[in-house]
Amino acid sequence: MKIRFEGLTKRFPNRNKKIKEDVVAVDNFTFEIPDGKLIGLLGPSGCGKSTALNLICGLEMPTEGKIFFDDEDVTNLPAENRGVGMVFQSYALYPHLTVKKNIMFPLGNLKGDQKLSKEEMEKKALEAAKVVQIEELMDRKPNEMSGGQQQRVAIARALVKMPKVLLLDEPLSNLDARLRIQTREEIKRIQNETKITTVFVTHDQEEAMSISDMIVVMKSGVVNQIGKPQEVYDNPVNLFVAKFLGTPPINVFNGEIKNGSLYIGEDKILGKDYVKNTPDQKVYVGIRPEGFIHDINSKSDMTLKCSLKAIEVMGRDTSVVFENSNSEGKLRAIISSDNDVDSSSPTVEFMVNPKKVFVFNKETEERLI
Amino acid sequence: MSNNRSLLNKLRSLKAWLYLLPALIFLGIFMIYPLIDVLIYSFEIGYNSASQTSLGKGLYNYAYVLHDPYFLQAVKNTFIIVIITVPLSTIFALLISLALNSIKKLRDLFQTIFFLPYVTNTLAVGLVFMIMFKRTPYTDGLINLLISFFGGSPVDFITGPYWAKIFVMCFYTIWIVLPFKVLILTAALASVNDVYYKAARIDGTSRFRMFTTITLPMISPMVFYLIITGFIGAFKAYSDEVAIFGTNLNSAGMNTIVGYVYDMLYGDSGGYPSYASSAALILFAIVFTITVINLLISKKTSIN
Repeated sequence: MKIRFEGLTKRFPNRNKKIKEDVVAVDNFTFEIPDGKLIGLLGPSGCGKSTALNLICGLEMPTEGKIFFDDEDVTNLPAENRGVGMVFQSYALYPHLTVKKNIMFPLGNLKGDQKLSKEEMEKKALEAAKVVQIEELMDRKPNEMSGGQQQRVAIARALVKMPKVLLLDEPLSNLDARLRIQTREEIKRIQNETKITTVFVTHDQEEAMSISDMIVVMKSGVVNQIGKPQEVYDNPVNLFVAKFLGTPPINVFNGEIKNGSLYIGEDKILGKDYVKNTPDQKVYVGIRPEGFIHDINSKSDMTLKCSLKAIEVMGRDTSVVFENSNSEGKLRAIISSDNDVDSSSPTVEFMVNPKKVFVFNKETEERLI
Repeated sequence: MSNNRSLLNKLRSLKAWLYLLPALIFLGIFMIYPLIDVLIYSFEIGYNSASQTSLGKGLYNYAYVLHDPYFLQAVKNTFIIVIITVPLSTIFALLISLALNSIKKLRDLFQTIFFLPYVTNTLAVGLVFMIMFKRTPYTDGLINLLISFFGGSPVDFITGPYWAKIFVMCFYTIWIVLPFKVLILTAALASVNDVYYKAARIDGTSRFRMFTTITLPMISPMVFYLIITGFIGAFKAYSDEVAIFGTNLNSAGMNTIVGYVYDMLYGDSGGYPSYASSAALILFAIVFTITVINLLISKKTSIN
């Protein structure tokens, strides 16, 4: 099922009563979520992504705009009639019910000809449990299970009624690091198997990038960019998106376009074929950690001179920590581990890969190059 | 090493006992000792507290009390009050708490209003009930005026038929115990995490099913707490009866077990600590049995 938003907006009165102005949690959403895909709704905390999810499931009603499931307008449909499945951040498993009864719970709400016999309900519950591989835990209570297992039960409970849309609110935030990676692959597998349009909310860009077919990057209620994870990473529309995606984060410098070339401080780092026809101005320059090239033998005159702070060997590659007077704090470059950086030297010089360099307008922070 | 450690442990437990000592002394003097004393009195025939002498030992006191029509009347009254007021007050409290929980505006105000009777003196409330129900040569009382207004014939609630007196008694008891129960249940309802209701809503759960399968099980520990303390409280009823029917409860036919114990000690027909002790122990046995049954039921339901 496709989900389509038309000018979807949600405003809340400000918690601080002295401020009259409303808080806009979701600002004018207009886009479409394609059928059968896994979508990651990504943004820092408080950016309105959970509100967006609540609007889709009907727990919140929009201030303006419309939501369509395929071509059906569901804007005013209450949550109970939307047929969505939702997994809450805290899982919201009923603590007094066994796993089986938790999974069967949504089926007990069916009315009329949809009503199921107890055997049918148990059969469906077992099927859902098999999808998430917890069929041997059916008689446990939620508090007798690990976080990861509870998470699976919550997914099974959301899946059992065969929802048209599956919503996951920060599904991995309560799990430890190892379990998180395991579970996110699990979510991807389940989504692949069931082909249910799935929207999940997260503030963890790595999580979103790794499993989503499409990511929606949000900032203070506004959608900044929509696209395939790699596309968004390689082609951020503004400084916020560039900073938000990627670990280690992108390095941001104060730079300048001067005489048709890109400078950071006194160092010219890229020439005319990169800058093309952008007028001269002060800019922000973002360089991905993997965009630095360290080559002692190179005769290139376009290098960025920095003071070397530390070298961290991570096996596959080497992380070079350095500082530059045109940027605040520690910067980081990731280079191949067969590259010898002289750790005794106080300085280090890098060339840059133009594909990994983004230039942003100083005022609007929109992408220039 | 190990010797040292065991010494240290001993010292530690000694310290713990030292901390417990004040409480233990008070409990010992004012609870355990009197309890044992009561137990002894109850088997001493014709015990005289002035001369501290008795005629002998045996089960005579129990036989006397169990054959005393006043005691049987008191047991009957107590049981009727317990059976009517405990379930009704709990159900009313639950309904009021649900209503309070579902309103947003003025909730604090209503909560305060419902809690007010709790901080009001029992006897003061009793006085108000007297004014409402009592018939005097000058007036039939507020309730009777209402009954007459709707075309009924006035009833003498305070000195009239047994059912009318029981009605007033139960009405009064429920009124008195309601605020505390409302307070506890509103707190219990508020403590149920909203996310369960959200999850249930998304799954299309009806209000009724939400209540029976989510709310009720989640607040059941509190409900059981109220039922158990409600039973104990109702079995120990006495001051409420005095507030409405005066101190001569036997002649009003409205005595309770605790009232009987009191009368046996200090009442007009009093001065019989042995009978009072046996009656008190019979009450203890009843309350104990009911509490154990309650606990067993609550355990069973919480497992399922």
